[in-house]
Amino acid sequence: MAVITISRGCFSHGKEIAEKVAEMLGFECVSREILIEAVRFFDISEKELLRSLHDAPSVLERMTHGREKYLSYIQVALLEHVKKDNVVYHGHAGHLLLPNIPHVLKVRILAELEERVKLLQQEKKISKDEALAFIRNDDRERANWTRYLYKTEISDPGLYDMVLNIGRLKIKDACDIICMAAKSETYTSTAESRKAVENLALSSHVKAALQDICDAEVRSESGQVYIKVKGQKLRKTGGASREVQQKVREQIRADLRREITHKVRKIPGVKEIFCDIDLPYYS
Amino acid sequence: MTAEMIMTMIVLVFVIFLFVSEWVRVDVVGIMMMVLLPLIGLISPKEAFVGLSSNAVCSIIAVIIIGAGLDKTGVMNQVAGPIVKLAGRSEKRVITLISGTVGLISSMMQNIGAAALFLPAAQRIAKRMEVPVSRILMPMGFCAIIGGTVTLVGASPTILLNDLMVLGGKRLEPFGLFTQTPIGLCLLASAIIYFTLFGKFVLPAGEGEADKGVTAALMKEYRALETVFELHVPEDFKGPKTLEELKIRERFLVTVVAISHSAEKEKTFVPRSTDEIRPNDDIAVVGRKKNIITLAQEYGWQIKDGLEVFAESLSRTNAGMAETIVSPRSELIGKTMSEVNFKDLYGINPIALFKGNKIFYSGLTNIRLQMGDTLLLQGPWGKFHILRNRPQPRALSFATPLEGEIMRPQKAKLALGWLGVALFQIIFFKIQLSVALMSGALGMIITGVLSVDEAYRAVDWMTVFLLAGLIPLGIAFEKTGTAAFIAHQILALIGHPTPIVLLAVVGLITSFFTLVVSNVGATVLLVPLCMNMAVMAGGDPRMAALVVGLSASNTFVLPTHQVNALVMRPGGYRTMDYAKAGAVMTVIFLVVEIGVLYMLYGVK
Repeated sequence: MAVITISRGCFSHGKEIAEKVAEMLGFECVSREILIEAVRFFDISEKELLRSLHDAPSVLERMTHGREKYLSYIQVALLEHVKKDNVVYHGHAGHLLLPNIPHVLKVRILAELEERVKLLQQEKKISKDEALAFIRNDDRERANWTRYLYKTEISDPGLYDMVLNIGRLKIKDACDIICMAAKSETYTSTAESRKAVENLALSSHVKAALQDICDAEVRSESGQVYIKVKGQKLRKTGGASREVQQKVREQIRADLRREITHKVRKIPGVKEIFCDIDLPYYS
Repeated sequence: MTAEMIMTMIVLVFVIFLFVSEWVRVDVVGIMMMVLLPLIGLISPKEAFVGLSSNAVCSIIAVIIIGAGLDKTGVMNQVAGPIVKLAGRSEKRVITLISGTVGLISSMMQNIGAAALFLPAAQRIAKRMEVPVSRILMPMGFCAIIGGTVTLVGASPTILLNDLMVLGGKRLEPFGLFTQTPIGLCLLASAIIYFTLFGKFVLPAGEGEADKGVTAALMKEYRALETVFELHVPEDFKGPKTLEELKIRERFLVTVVAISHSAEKEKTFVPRSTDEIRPNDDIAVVGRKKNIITLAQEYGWQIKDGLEVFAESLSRTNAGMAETIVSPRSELIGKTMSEVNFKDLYGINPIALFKGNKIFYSGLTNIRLQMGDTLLLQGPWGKFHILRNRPQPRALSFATPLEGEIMRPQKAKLALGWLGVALFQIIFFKIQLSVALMSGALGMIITGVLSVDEAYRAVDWMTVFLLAGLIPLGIAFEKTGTAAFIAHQILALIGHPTPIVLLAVVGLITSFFTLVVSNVGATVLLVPLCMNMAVMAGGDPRMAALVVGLSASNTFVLPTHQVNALVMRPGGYRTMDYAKAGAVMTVIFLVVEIGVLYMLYGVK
C-alpha cells in the first residue's frame, strides 16, 4: 500500500523498471495517461501540455506563469490516481507534484551515459553524435525546468528517498530494492497519510480552478478550503475622492470573493470556503 | 552634453526604473524627486516645491472636492434614474445612453466615480433586458476613461499640461477648459459607435454575477425573507384598517416596511401597528414570496412587478438592512421593543429577532431582549448612521457593514449651482482654472454641501503628491536642456517628419508609455521632450503637449487600470478580453485623435 514515483532521464531504463515494479507489486502504473486525463478534464490542448512538462519555460511563460497553470492541471489528474493508492508513477516531476505525503517513495534512476546513448541509437537508428546531442539537450531541458519551477536541482539526491544507478546494478536488482522499500512500514499508507493526499488533491483542484481568476494560496483540511489572495494592483486613471476610491477597492474585492466562492463551491469535496482577500492597492 | 544633462538623464532612468519595477509607489517617486532634484542641484529648493502650489495641484484638489460634493448630495443618482428610463428596450440605445452619460459626467469629475455610480444601474438594465451584461459594462468603462479627455480637468495628465508647458524658460499660452473638447467628444462618439457596431464581435457574451450587496445577502441568510415587494391597495378595499387589525405579521410572517398614503401624498417608513391602510394606498413588504402572494390574495391587493412608488426611497443607495446585536450594558436589555418605543426611538423597522437558536418573525416587539440577541433591522441608511454614531454604551452594535452613506439630497441644487458658478467664471471671465474651481469648492463648503473636514478627507493625497513631485522633474528636464538634447538626437535618427506625422508618433509613444509607467509619469516625461521635437520639426509645441496629455488616457488593454478593474468581474471579463477589445480601441483612439487634430486644429 504505497505510492512510488520514479524520476529518470530519457533512456535510463526508468520506464522498464517502473513497469516491472508495478507488475511485481500488483500496482497500477501510470505515466502519460495522466496527461490525457488532465487534457480531458480541463479541456486544454495536449500539445501545449506536453510541451509544458518538458521544455524549460520561455521568457513569456515566465512572465505569465503559463507553466504553473498546466502543472496544476497535471497535479490534479495525478492526485486522482494517488488517492486510490498502489500506484507507480514514472512521468515527469512526480516527486515534486506530491509534496509532504508520507507514503510516497521517491526514486531516481540514473544510467551510464554510454548505455543510454546505445539504447537510443538502437531505437532511433541514429548516429552516436546525434544520440549524444539528443540526450544532453533533453537532460538540460529537464534540469532547467525544475530549476525554474521548483527552484531545485534535479540532480540533488536530497530530493529523493533513493537514487539507483543502473550499470553494475541490474534492472532486476533495482526492482527488488524498490519493492522491498515499498513494502516496508515507512511507506505503508495510513489513515493520516491518505488524508494528506485528500487534502492535497482538493487544494490542487481548487488552485487549478482559480488559475484564470487570480493567484491564490490554497490550503485545505477535510473539505474546508482556505484561500488567501494578495491584493490586486490598481492603476489610477484619474483622480477621485478617497471615499470613492475606498468604495471601488472594496467593491473589487467583494466581486473577486464572489467569483472565487462561486467557482470553488462547484468542486466536489468542498464543504466550507474561507476566503481571505487583501484589498486591492494603488501602485 | 553638459554635466547637468548627464545628471538629469541618470535621474530620468532611475525614475523610469522605479515606475516600471514598482519598488515604491508612484507618489513616493514624486516625493523623492522633490528632495533629490534640489539636493543634487538640478533645480533650486524653491522650484522643488513649486508643484505643491501649482495650478494643476490646486485644480485637482478643487475638482475632487466638487466631485465629492456632487456625490454627497446624490446628484449623480438622480441622473441615473431618467437615463435608465430613456434607454428603453434597445440594446444599442442602452449602450449609447449609458456610455455617453458616463463619459460626459466623467469629463467634469472622477472617471472612476462615474463608472462606480452607473455600474449597479447598468447591471440592472442588462438583467431586465436580458442582454449579456458584458456588452454594456466594458463600453461604459472605456467611455468613463475617454470622458476624462473631454475637458482639461477631466483627468490628471491634462490638468498637468499648463504647468509643464514651458519652453526655453518661457511659459506657453495655457489651454482653456474646453480647448480639447472637440477631440474628446469625437473620441467618445467613436468609442460608442465602435461598441454599438462591433460590440457583438469583440465582447464576450459572458454573464457576470450581479452585485447584490449586504442587504440581499442578509435576505438570503434569513430564509423567511426573499425580497421587497410593493403592493397596491385597490379602491374597493374595506378600510381604513390598522396594521394590528389586519394581523399581517402574525398571519403571513410578512413585515410592512413602508406605507404611502396616496390621498395625503405621505410616506411612512416606520409603520406602527396603529397605522391605517386605506384604499389606494401603496405598501412595501418584506417576506417570503409565497406568503406575500397569500396575503395579496386574502385581502385582494395587487402585487406590482417591481418597486414603483418606493423605487427611489427603498433603492439600495437609500435604504436597506443591517444585522445588529444587543450590546453589553445596552439600555434595551430586559425590555421589550414596544416598551421602549423602538420604532419611534430609532426610526428603523425590526424585521426579525434571532434569539438563542430561534428566529422570530412575528411578535418580536413583545419579546424581552437580552445581551447577544441579534436583530435584523430595515430602514433608511441615514437612520442607521445616527444609531451607529450614538455615544457609548451603544444599544446595538452592528454585525454587518453599513452599505449606504449619509446623503444630503436637499443640497443637490446648491451643489450643482456651485459647479455652475465655477464653470461660469472659467468660460465667461477667463479666470484661472484653479481659482475658479476652488471658489466652487469653497462655495460648497460654506453652504454646507459638505463639511470642510469631509472636503479634506476627500482629497486624494496620492494624486496630489504624485503631481506635485513630478512637476519639478519636468522643470529640470526642460531647464537643463536635456529634453532638447534628446529631442535633437531622436529627430536626427528618424529624420524630420511633418508635424502631423510627428504627432502621430508622439501619440503612439505616449500610449505605450502610459501602459508601462503611470499616466502622470508618462505625461511628465514626454511633454518636455515632445514639445522640443515639435519645435524642431516646425510644428506647434502646444499641440504636441496636448497629444501627450490626451494619449495618456489611452489605457484600454490592461485590466489593472482602476475603471477596467472595477467592471472586470461584474462583466465576467478575462484579461484576454481587454487585450482584444482594448487593442482595437487603442488604435481607434489614436486615429480619431490625430484625425481631429488634422481637420479641426489645422495641424498639417
